[in-house]
Amino acid sequence: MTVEQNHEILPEFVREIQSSPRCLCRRWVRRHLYPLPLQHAALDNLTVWLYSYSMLFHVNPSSGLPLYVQIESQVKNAIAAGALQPHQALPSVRNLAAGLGINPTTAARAYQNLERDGVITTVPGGGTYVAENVPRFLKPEKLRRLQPYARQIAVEGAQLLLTDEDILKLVQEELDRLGVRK
Amino acid sequence: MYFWKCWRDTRSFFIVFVIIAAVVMPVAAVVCVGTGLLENFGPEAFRSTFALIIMFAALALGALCASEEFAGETIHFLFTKPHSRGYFLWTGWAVGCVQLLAIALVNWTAGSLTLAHYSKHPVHSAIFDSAMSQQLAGAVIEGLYVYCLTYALTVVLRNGLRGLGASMAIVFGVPFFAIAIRWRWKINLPVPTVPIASFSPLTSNIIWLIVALLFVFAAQLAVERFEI
Amino acid sequence: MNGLAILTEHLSKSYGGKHAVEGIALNVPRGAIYGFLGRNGAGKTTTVKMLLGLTRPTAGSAQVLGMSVATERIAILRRTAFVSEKKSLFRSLTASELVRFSRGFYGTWSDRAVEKYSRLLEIPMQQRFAKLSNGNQTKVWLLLALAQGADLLILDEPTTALDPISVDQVMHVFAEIALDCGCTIFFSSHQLEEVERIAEYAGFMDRGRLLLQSRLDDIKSEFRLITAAGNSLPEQTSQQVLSVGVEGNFYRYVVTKDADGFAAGLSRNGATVTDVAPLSLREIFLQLVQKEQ
Repeated sequence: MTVEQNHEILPEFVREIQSSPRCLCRRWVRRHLYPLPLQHAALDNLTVWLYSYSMLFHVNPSSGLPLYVQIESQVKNAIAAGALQPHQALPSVRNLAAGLGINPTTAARAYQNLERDGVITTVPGGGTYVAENVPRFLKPEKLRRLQPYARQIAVEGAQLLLTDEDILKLVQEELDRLGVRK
Repeated sequence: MYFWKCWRDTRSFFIVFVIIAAVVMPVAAVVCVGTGLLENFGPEAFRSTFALIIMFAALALGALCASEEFAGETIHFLFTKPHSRGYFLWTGWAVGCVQLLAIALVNWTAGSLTLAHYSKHPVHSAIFDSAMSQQLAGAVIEGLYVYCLTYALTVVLRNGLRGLGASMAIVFGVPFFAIAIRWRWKINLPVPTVPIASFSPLTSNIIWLIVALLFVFAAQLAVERFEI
Repeated sequence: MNGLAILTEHLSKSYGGKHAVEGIALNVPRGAIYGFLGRNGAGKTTTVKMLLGLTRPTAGSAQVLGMSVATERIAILRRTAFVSEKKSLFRSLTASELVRFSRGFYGTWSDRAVEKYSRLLEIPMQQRFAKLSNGNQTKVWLLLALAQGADLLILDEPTTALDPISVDQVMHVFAEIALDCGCTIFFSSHQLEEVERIAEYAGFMDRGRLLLQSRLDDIKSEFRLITAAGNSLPEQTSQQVLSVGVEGNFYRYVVTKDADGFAAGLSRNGATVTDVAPLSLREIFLQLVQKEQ
């Protein structure tokens, strides 16, 4: 696998690293970016392994949520936060599965659901990209998806004996932090 | 591939025994030079050492070849290879058999050459007379018999030491047992490798060989029914 | 030829009076990664041995790759790779000699895979097996299994002796081979995080019986922990309710399906449902085992 074949998301400076001599690259990357030992003995697939440590995808197997749900929500969060732009490339199912060490079916399922929801598009033989105008949900559908989280906030807030105003203010702060335009 | 592996397991032992088999008679001859012992007692000494070496080699090889798998618990690995269990059993047996015959051959060659060198008599008379050959052949048959018995017992008991012990008990105990029976009830039990009454020596040897192979067949049946 | 890599029917094994395995019905689809979970002594290893013909079942039947274990054992073994629970191999041989030994048995052996995985898993190939650490011994077993080019990998606790980095490496390898060759991986494990990560199907075994067998995603999306407050709420377990915990007014239900319906039912009876939360595999496993006791 070469960089050209993988339309991976990479920070700009990492792309620069990849074009520099390999041995320098490895040492630099090891020392500065990833204090954790890189698991792959051969750094040929630098892209894949960087991806598995990227901030975008991180799965917690014991959280109770199915892994595909975690991946889906992470993609959606990234899009909502502006970290992923329309037409930006995502790792292929293969790279995602192999990179995270998860079942390929799980990765495929996450992508299928995302595509069904119109969040991403797959070009046959060409890769996976964030969709043009995302999301195309209808409002009731969007609200339905958000409802469990709203209930959780309400329940927790009630248990903590917070007032409605406090809870709503908290939500507003989070929205402001995301910079989501209404 | 399993041939190679069995050979690897028994290699060092085999080499030691081959060396012993090769040097015992020449060394004895060199030591006895000038005393006249070799000329008079050479053939008997040769016969005894031949039988002794074969017996030891048979016992040891029988216990060694089969015990490696069971003692090391590598049976899970071996019996999940796409071959019948009988294949592994007989391959291990064949390796030890060939090694045993090789030791016998080396010893016979070394002894014959030594005797021929130092003996006053021409080569063909003292060494290759029918009585001597018959006794040597008998020793080989006995060695094979003991080897097959030890191998079979080691496999069935799944333990080298236990197989060896059981085999030695049978090999050394049965003659005494037969003597006791003969003395008490006047019945002549056939003792392994002693020519059976009313059969020629050749036929007796063949019968004992068949009995020896039957032991290994019985072990094969047992192995195929093993629960691992 | 059915689409199942492993299919067992009422497979049972008893030693004397003790039932090690009792009437289990495994369904492992081809190409899937199936995690076989259970406590020590639950009967996982005995089941695996029966699938490979090392032990004969006392009742029932097993079909591996469409072939009956009782009659076509050797044909099955030709296409099945195995890693044993006891990680012992020929002590005096080195890893490369073991590779040489194994290669002769299989037509589908891949030397490229040997090179790739021995490098990836960092296996010392020239050290005698007896001198390798437990973890490295396990890795040698895995190497031999991976290089075989088998259609089905049956692995009995393949990651127990490995350090976390090595476990991670192995998980990546599993994901890769599942993609590349579409082979089925059937592995038993105690390490639930790894199973959650890599397995598509899970089977829970306890005391010789298969308690639950399903897609992992379905299990995780169906099982829920419902906390509710109220008076005189139902306290008995059933098909749907795995366990009930009561403390004063607070009730905790572990529900196996239709959690929303159950919660709605509680609300209709006047209870306040405070939480409907998913459960980790560890918690589900503990609940299943406790229910049996």
